Amino acid sequence: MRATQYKTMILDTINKEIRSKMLLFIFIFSTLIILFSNGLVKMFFSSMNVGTNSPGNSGPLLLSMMFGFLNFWSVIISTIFGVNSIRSDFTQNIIYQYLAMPIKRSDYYFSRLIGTWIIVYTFYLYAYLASLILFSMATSSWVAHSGHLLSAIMMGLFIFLCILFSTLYSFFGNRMGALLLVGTSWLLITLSNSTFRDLPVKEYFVNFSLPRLLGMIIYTLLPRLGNISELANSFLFQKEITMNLWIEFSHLIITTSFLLWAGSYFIKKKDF
Amino acid sequence: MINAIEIVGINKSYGDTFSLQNISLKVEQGKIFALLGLNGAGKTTLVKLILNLLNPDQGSIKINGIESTDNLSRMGIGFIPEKFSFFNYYTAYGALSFFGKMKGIEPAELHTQILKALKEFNIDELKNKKLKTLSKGQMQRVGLCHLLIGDNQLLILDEPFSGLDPLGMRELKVFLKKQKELGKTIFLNSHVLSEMELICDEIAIIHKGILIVNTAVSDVLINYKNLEDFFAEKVTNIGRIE
Repeated sequence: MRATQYKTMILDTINKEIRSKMLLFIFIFSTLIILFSNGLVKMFFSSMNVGTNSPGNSGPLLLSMMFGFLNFWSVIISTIFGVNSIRSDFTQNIIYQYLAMPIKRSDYYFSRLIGTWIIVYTFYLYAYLASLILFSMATSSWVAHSGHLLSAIMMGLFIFLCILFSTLYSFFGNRMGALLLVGTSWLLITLSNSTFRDLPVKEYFVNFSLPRLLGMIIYTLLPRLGNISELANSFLFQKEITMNLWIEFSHLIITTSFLLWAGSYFIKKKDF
Repeated sequence: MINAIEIVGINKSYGDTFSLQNISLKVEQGKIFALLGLNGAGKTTLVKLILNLLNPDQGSIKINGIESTDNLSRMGIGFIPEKFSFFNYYTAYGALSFFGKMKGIEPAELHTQILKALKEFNIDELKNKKLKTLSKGQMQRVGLCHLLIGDNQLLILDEPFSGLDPLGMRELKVFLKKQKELGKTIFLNSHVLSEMELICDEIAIIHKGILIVNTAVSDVLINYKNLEDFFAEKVTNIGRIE
């Protein structure tokens, strides 16, 4: 029965989100941006006379900019949909109907999370593939390689974590408050990532201060989103990977499990 | 015999304010039970506690012998809030199908149950209509159909008579009596005392979060002309004591 409940709830989430006007707007906007960027790439290559059979030296840079935009855009979309995923059940007074059914609160939460992830990730893959195909057409060369697949997988993880953060914040406050909290967290996680990533552990305590302690806590206890994003870029542009993947993935699994447990705990303790 | 609902020593507060204080209550299986009280007395809070939508500060609630914190306790519960609502892009059939799937009912059996429920409330022609196109009364009927999906032995209705026209009220009373005859337990949370008097076996009155009376309707009617007089006296007396 639990599997049926999950399937039903995930489909219900997809049904809910797919009708969102926001999704339609994002879809149209993203398509326009991709087409516009493609036009720019075409124009660039023809005006610079870089050649038709190779992306040239500027190709990776343009591709990087395009995927950089796509990754940034996917963070925004994940945040908006993550915050809305469970909040809309509150605001429409429908949460009682769901939780009065024989479903565990944690199952309700996880199925909403997975459903939202499917929607956002499908959108990301659409935008990713569209960008890739159009870029390849513009440069008259097939730019895809196996690294793209690994990069897309990493971005799937990245998007899942963004949604997870957003749903957690949506328990504590209104939509705008949750969006602001997610934005602040982003900033703090990015700062702590850039501060501690290349630092040996023994140097963590040098110039010790309260903000540094906060950064250290964030870097240690929360998933390192910056590293995942960097890893996705490394796969995409076939750069050398400098981080220890075993440590990074172990850290990711532990911290993500902690966040999932926290979400499950909050929803269990929440009064509706 | 296991009670349909067994509430023991429930306390619930919001900050410093007590919403419910030391509530203990039993609802026998197969009875129609009404929870009465003024606005803000704590009736909805108690319903939410029964459905595990709220966490009690103290005490425990069992549904058909199962702790209310166990999601399986809600397997045999059909609940309809005061204003039934669901995502309006669902059709009436789709919404009922969703509820049935969440209870693990097999597709073929679910289809039969949905058609039967829609027929019971004479809304079978609305089967494929989107919820957003339904009137308030039709929407409430879809909610009532939801009570018939699955093997619900306990039906909880929050203010079921509110917003119903006289024919709708009559239809609902017939439905509730029929469900009682089928051995189901019905828990009503209502203000409409005249209707409660006609259909209920037992009542409880909550006033300012405290259970002041729990008695059989037949016992009330021995000494009082109607339930309204009894209710007014009990609530006023408490007010005087305070």
